[in-house]
Amino acid sequence: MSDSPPESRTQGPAVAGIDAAAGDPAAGDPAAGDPAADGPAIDASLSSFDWPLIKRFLSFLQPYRLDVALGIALIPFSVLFSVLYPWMIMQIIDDQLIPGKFEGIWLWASLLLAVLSANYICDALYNFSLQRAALKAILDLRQTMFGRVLHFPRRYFDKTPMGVTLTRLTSDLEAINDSFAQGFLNMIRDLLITVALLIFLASISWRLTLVLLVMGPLIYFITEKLRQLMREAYVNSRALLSQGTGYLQECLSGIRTVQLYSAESEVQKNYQQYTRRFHKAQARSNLYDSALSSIIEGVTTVSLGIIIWYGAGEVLTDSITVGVLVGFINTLDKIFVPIRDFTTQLASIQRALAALQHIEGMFQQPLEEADLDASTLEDPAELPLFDRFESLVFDDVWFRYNEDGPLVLKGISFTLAKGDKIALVGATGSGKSTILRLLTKTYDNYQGSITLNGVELSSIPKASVRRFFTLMQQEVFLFNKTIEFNIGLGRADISPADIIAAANYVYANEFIDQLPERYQFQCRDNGANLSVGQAQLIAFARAIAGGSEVVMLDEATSSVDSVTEQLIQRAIDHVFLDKTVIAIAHRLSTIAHSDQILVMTEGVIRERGDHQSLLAAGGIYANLVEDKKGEVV
Amino acid sequence: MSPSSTISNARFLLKYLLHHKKTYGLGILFIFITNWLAVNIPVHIGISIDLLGGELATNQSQLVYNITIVISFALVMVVTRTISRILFFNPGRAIERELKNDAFAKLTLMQHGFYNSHETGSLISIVNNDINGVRMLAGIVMLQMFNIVFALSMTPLKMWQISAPLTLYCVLPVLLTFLIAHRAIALMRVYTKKRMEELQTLSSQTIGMLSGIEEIKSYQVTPWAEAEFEGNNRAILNRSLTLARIRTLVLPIIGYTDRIMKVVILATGASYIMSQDLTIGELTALLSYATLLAMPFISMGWIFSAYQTGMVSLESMRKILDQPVAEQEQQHLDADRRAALFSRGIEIRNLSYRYPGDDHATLKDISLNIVPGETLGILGRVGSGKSTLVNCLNRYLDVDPGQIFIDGLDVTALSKRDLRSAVRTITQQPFLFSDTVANNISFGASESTEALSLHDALLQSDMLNEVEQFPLRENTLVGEKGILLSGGQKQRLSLSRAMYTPCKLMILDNVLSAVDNKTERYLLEQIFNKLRSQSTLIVSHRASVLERVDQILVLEEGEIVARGSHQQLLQASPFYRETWELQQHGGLD
Repeated sequence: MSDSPPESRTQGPAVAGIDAAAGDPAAGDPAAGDPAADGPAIDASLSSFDWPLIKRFLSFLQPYRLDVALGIALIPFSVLFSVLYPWMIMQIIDDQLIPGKFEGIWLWASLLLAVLSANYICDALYNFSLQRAALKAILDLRQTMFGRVLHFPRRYFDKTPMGVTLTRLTSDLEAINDSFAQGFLNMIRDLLITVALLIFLASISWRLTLVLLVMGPLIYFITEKLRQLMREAYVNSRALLSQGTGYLQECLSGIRTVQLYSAESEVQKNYQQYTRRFHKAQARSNLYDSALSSIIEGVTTVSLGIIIWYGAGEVLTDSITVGVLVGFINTLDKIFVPIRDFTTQLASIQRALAALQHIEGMFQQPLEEADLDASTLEDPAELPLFDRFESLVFDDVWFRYNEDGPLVLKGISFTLAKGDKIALVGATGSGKSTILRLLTKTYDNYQGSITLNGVELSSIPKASVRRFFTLMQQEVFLFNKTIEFNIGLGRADISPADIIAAANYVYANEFIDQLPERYQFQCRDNGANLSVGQAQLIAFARAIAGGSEVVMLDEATSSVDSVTEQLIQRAIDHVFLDKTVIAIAHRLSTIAHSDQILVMTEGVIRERGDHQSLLAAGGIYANLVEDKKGEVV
Repeated sequence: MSPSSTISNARFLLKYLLHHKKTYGLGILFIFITNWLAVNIPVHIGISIDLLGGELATNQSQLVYNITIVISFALVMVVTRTISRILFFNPGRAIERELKNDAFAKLTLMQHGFYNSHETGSLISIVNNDINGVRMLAGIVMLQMFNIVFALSMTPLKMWQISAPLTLYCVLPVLLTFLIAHRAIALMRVYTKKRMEELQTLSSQTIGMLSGIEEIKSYQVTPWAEAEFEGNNRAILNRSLTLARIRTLVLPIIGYTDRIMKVVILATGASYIMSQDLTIGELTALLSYATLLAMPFISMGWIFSAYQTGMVSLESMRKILDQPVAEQEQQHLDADRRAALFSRGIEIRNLSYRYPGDDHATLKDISLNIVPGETLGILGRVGSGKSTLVNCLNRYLDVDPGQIFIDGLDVTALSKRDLRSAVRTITQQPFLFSDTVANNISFGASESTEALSLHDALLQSDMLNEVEQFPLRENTLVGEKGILLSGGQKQRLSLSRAMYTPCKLMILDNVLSAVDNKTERYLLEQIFNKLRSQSTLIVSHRASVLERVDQILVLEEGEIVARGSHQQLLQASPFYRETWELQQHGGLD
């Protein structure tokens, strides 16, 4: 938005000099002054009209077809009144003013006003009803897209930056909205009116109309040519601007180096090079931009002169009247302005089409595989086997994230029996988190065997698996809602009593009871109005509230302050007391309390055993512990 | 925001506008000419129309004359209008450039306190985005202001000359639509802003939910998420509908202003034509003036909102431009005195330092002398205060006066730039620009006459062989756009930069942490034998690095617990001895 030269606005009133036409209803609309209106070069041509894309949007317009129908029904009237107005002016001049007939003038004037009012109403309702339909369709579209996003598979989020998804849900829909508000609707009406006016004028004097028909393409050609030059200048200056911005960003990131080398003047000089080049590039587009509006207005006035000159001969030979001539003069702008605006409107439509294309991508993205239906397994949840957790067995599990990606797990085998506490230890990227992700069925395509109570994990529906496992992690995410909500998350099977019990379990009740609103306390900005430890405990309580037997604990690598550390430690100790635990462990105490420690490097379990035996062995684990102690030094 | 922002935004802008007063003056002249031509064209159109009523033969030449005037005025206007616009847009761009340069210069002078409280992203956004509002203020808003003033004074005057009562009749619809439109535009602005805020709410909510997508999925609460989203989505719809209502139902009134005026002119003009007070030609001229009169009113609403946006932008630009810079930072020593700095060395007297908001001091009662020609080492564990001491020396941190002296002069009385021209610090995390290897090495050396050859600088930092393997050798781009360097390569490149030009005191703050032992030995060799600084201060937590310096200070918890040469300390300091022995055996690092 900021990058387009604002002077290049050709739609709003800014370029409309004092002799420009006043007919553009978008004039004065601040939104029409949006500098982006004439924004970046859009090379898609009209041929990029893509029916499947438009059909997608039309299907969302479907529920609001009454509004659409009303708007479309008004177009003929709007066109009719636009033509009636110049015709009546001609009549008034020829029938009343020139013969000097005074009676009836007020009737004519009232009729003119009535036509204007009717025209106004038709125009306004046409625009409004279609825009309303479009806005409602956009609401539905946004809602549907968001619903889909929530069901996109994990892989989508792995490879798509959040900003892209956000752009689809906001900017792309805005582009469609803008196109409806400024480009599309006006263009259709303007085109129809221009055609109707030309037919009307031709029916009165085809020779005078011919003059206009010569001028029209000329205006279009000049506009198009200058715009093209402006676009080139724009692309050029845009590149220079981003270079300058890049340098600015680097200098700010490296400001310490700049200052420690006392290189302030040196970088200032460099930056001035960038701004100077940008300035020079802009001067060029200033020229085109200034010429653009002036030439259009000039051509309009010149053709006005030509029409009078040519029309004079016609008047004198009595083939047309003075009223017709004056009517022609007063209709010029109504014909030329739409031609002038045509390119801008087209660009806005192309932007909308590009946006639609992006949006279509959201509909093409397959949703998360629907949960395996019960047919693969005879409703495992019903089997007595699945009443409670018995065991989890990894047997020679291999896994890679992408088909062409590296192996992240290479033959992992271990057994987690009821009541066991297993700690996974290893550097980042050793495969610890992948094991947890397989357990939550975030990913499914492993090789080897993972069995839960003796049943292969890949054949158990996700929902059933999640009954057994709950993930406790130190990466806290709190919604901007009450504490009660953040613990219960609106899960149907969790009562307020369960929520309190869960809070008690992790000792969160101690601080919650101190809060004025207790469980109704509103969390803000991911827990910004709570301490780190408090937010952590709420997240822990959320995990506990589900009542799962197996806790997957994901400890953070980063160290926390001692108060937080203490809160977390107590909660984890409690969990260790009576749950089955599999932990990605960083805390020495968590590791030391585990029955079995699996030391991983590069997807392989290198050492296993309890704390004492591994220390005695003096291998990788012993070194790691040594390092941990070193950190404290 | 800052103490010096007392002058008003308008005066602040005026300062920049006045740099271009000649261009603006010419621009105003051309706007005047353009408007004069514009209001005279309808006069000749009117005359032409009237001539049609008379005799063909007698009037032919007059008709041609008037039409020629219309066409030539139109052509001249194309030129004058183009020039007038350029004469306003160009200073707008020039002011944009000046402001950007000034803001950049100011930013290079800001210290870490400023950068701690201002995100880089928002600073860039100010320099890049807010500048646009200011440029429009200096360009198009200025242009339109004069345009409107001339148009609104000249058009009614011309109309008045044709018919005073008709002019008065025209004022009524213009004022009416202007008032309606003005109000509507003001409302639009308010609602547009609110809509932007609502859109931002939706955006941050979406970001929040996408960040918590794992929670939403694993706890299966998508219905709730969708309901939440819908609330904001609906709010946007409702706001958009309000906006659409104003935009489609109220605002078009502006576009109808001229047509309404034309009806008024036709209806009321009739009686004046009857009484021979008005000709058809004059009526035609009045009809043209209706359009001319409507235009400025149309642009006024837009100009007003652009003016307000511009002022808000200027306000945020001033957050940078008005930042105070301490007085001594703007005074610089002359070249001779600058060159003579560090002739007697640096003395630290009882230096204590406490970080703002911290309870206990990080440095306690440090005293030491760095005399020219001496090499000094500082050894200490992580967190012992080594880097703090370095940052006090180079004044990256603000120390109280009376603690650090260079040539007997209190460093707080000296500009940081002067001090740092003598004291060069090489940090552990070097910053490299995405520029060529060569430019990164010569960074900061643009004024130096004693630079090494690139070859020597690379050789001395053990980078020569590697650079010769790079695709474009020393012209290879570093960083995102080019070759990605390892931590050790970065440190060595930063060392080349340090060695490229001589300085008085070179501080090497843990710069060898990412290189292997062999390279470390080579680099130390280079540092001790080739470094062209008068004194060198080496900071490390590795005793091996410091073996050869003249004096080693052992820092523990912000205090100097021992000082002396390597041999002396082996005897005297148990900590030093332990560290040295431990590291000799390749133990923990």
